[in-house]
Amino acid sequence: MDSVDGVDSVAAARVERPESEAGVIAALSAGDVVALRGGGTRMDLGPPPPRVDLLLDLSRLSGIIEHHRRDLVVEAWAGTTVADLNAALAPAGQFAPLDPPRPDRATLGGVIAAGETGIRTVPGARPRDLLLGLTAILAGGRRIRAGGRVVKNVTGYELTKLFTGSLGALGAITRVTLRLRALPEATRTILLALPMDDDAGQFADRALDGLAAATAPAAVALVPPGTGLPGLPRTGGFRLAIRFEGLAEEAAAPADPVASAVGAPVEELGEGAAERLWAGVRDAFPRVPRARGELGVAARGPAPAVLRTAWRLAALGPALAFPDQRRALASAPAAAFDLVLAAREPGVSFVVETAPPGWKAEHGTCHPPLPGPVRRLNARLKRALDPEGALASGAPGSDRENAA
Amino acid sequence: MRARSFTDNERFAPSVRSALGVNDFLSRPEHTLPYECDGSTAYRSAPEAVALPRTTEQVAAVVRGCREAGVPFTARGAGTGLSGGATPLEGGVVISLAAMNRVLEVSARERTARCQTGVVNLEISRAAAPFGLFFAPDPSSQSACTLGGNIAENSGGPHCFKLGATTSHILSATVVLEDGAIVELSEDGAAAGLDLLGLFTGSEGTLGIATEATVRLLPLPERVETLLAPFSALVPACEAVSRIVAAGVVPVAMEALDAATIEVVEAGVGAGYPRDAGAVLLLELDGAEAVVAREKREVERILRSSGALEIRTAEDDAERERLWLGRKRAFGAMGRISTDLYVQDGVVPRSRLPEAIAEVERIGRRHRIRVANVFHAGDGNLHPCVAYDGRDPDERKRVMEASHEMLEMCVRLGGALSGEHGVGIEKRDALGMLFGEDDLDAMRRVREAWSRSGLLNPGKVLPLRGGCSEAMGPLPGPGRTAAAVPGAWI
Ligand SMILES: Cc1cc2nc3c(=O)[nH]c(=O)nc-3n(C[C@H](O)[C@H](O)[C@H](O)COP(=O)(O)OP(=O)(O)OC[C@H]3O[C@@H](n4cnc5c(N)ncnc54)[C@H](O)[C@@H]3O)c2cc1C
Repeated sequence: MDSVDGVDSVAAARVERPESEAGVIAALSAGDVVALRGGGTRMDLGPPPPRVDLLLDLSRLSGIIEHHRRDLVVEAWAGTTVADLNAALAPAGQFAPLDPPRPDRATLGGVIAAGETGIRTVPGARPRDLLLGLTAILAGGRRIRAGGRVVKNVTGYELTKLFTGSLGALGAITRVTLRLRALPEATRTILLALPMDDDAGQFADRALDGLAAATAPAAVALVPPGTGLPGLPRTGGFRLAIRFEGLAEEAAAPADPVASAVGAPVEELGEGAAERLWAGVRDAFPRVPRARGELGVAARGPAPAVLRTAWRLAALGPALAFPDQRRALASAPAAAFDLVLAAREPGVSFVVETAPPGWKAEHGTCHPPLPGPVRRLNARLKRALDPEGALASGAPGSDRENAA
Repeated sequence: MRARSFTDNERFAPSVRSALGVNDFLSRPEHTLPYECDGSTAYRSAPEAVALPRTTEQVAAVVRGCREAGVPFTARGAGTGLSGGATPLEGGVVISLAAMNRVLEVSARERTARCQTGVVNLEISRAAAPFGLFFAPDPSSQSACTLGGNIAENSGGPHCFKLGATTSHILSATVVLEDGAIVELSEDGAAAGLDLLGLFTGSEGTLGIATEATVRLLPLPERVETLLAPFSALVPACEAVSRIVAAGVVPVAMEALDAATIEVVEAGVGAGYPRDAGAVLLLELDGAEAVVAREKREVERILRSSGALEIRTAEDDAERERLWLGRKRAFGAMGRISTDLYVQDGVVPRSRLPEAIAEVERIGRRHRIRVANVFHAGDGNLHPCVAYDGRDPDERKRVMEASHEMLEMCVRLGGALSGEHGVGIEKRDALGMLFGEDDLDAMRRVREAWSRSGLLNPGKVLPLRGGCSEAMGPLPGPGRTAAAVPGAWI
């Protein structure tokens, strides 16, 4: 079955699964309207394409092309899953610190095209920080290379950045070159049950003070009680989870300052519990399975405003906040969209990532909508690389909503 | 092709003048001449006028005026760029951000600072210091160069080895587009549109003019250790760097200086580097006390086994600053001992550093030129510096050929043509060494999507159509060197 939640037009399409770059070139030269798919875990991001003739599944284009072990750099086929890549790199003591939802399915090309920031702190662990170079096939079949395989490079325009988060609208990514890290020698997770706060502002200040008190955390998440992650009680206030990793000394970072900053005792999680918790955080959104009529919303903006927003969104449904990433995720009934909008603080922008069929076409994906000149730039960049509109999957600017 | 002079354009001059303060518009040749080039003085072309706006709206008004009059315009920060980026190649108007030089707000809780882009890099860390924070990008020119220039070049610096170049530290930017529209580009992630901020950063002033930006600040580390490790020669020093990288240890900075550089630095600023060493590595570790202690042990072990003659640790802040002063003023010191200086900028994979450096030395010998090396070793970012006499055409030719061979070598080893100085005019026609016609065509179309009129900083970054000669721009002629840029003696 190739239908994907919320993307009706894709369901109708013919599917091809090329095993080589030549196959991708052929598929993109035939004049079809093509939607691209990696592991299919985030097909519903962005505005739904109105029409798709061909669903080009890139997941068979997989495997490591070259591991430049001494440079901590790898080049791999874009259809390689994150889990497979990291399994192959582990014997060398290295890994790519990407942690998208469902890494056993999510492919490197897909994670990059989705611009999927994982659970780790930024900067340093986003696709945007890790992607050194790529090869892509443009609509019409032309192959281009962008970036390179060195860690510092300002030779020409950064097309790698343009492809990161492009949602398949600009070209089919076939190969990627990523920067790697040494596997941590040790990891440790602490959990703090934040006192119940009276208002959003108090909560945001408390959480940010906690973050500031943590020494070089590797991941930080705020989990509201209603979100129900493995091992977390559904009662009380928000839980603040902090992971330290790296050298044993880094993992042993002191927890007392965090405890006194947030006014809560520290709970040390065992290895298994910590692993389950972080896998839960990683896979919480997009929600699978999704309740009927549910929206998935990502909020971004200045950290205090995002946290205040998250505090309110948590009253509407499951939510998560990543304070250092200035990002929160939440879900709410589509019928409560007014309340979702009312939760938004000035300076925060919402992207509706998942929605019931037809909802995005009616309401749009970006709230507030992208300003006119930004939309026009998006649309012009899309036309620059895909003049015929042959790539269906749509970043804003490629769809009706934003084509103005 | 030279655009028509705007000063005789009646529609344009009055509207722009009225948008600016009386002293904020320069059109007399003696006032505009200092804007004829940046730090790479080989390329000179004076603007017809210089605008010194004080607000984003004024920048937009000047841009609209230029558009209406069909006059090219080029943004300028401090003019310390080393590839000709701020040089108004086709004349027109230079829009200097020098008067927009304030840190507007530091938010300790958010760990951000909102700044005007004409602010000098170092001023951001100064403003953040009382809050225990700092701005990570630290180009050696940081006491002169501006945030706008850093964004435009995606500048790096010693500490970018661990912390990443400018692009990792910009959260949003207010940008005036070619048509005068003012937009806020931000790092908003998937499905909120393309990563326009990521593309803009490093676009060398060809996609728009940044007037304000919100930057990320990082907490000042609890502990900093600065190590100096002399070696008998540069190649074993580079081997040590490659081994530290491969071991997955991440110092915050790893810089290398060869004997020729040590000599001029010691004569010039006296940083305390051993004069008899063949090379020194300058390393910095930072973080929590216990972490730094452990990393130091690992790094020292690798340094020793790679042939470090000794390992010195800075005892206090004064000694640390002195060690860094030598690195940061190295280009300046070289400028003082030779009539002309050409600073090359190329990148190789870190594992290939030893062979790259050996090759740089061979190329220098073959062409009978004096090469000094001072570079960001941890990133594989080479900076061979060639001191030469620009009055000697034969020597200039040899320097040119050698530089070209060094870039070819970088490409052959899997590297890139520039790690931080950018393409500008200098390497515009060399891009074909690294990219194919289809790659360049994609870049060209992307640029045209932003800037259709071709008035925004024309003649930079991309080879002129059909002009993909795989050659570098002309070499700095006789006269001043990069280090002779006012304010760039850093
Ligand atoms: C001695 C010396 C040492 C150096 N060391 C380093 C180093 O360690 N690392 C490094 O990366 N570089 C280094 N550089 C190069 C240079 O300092 C950097 O590229 C710096 O970022 C340029 O800043 P600037 O303000 O001088 O920019 P300028 O030279 O004025 O301009 C550079 C480019 O940016 C554009 N520009 C400027 N302001 C804006 C704006 N507001 N909006 C849009 N475009 C704009 C210009 O049009 C031009 O294309 C060094 C230079 C010197 C002379």
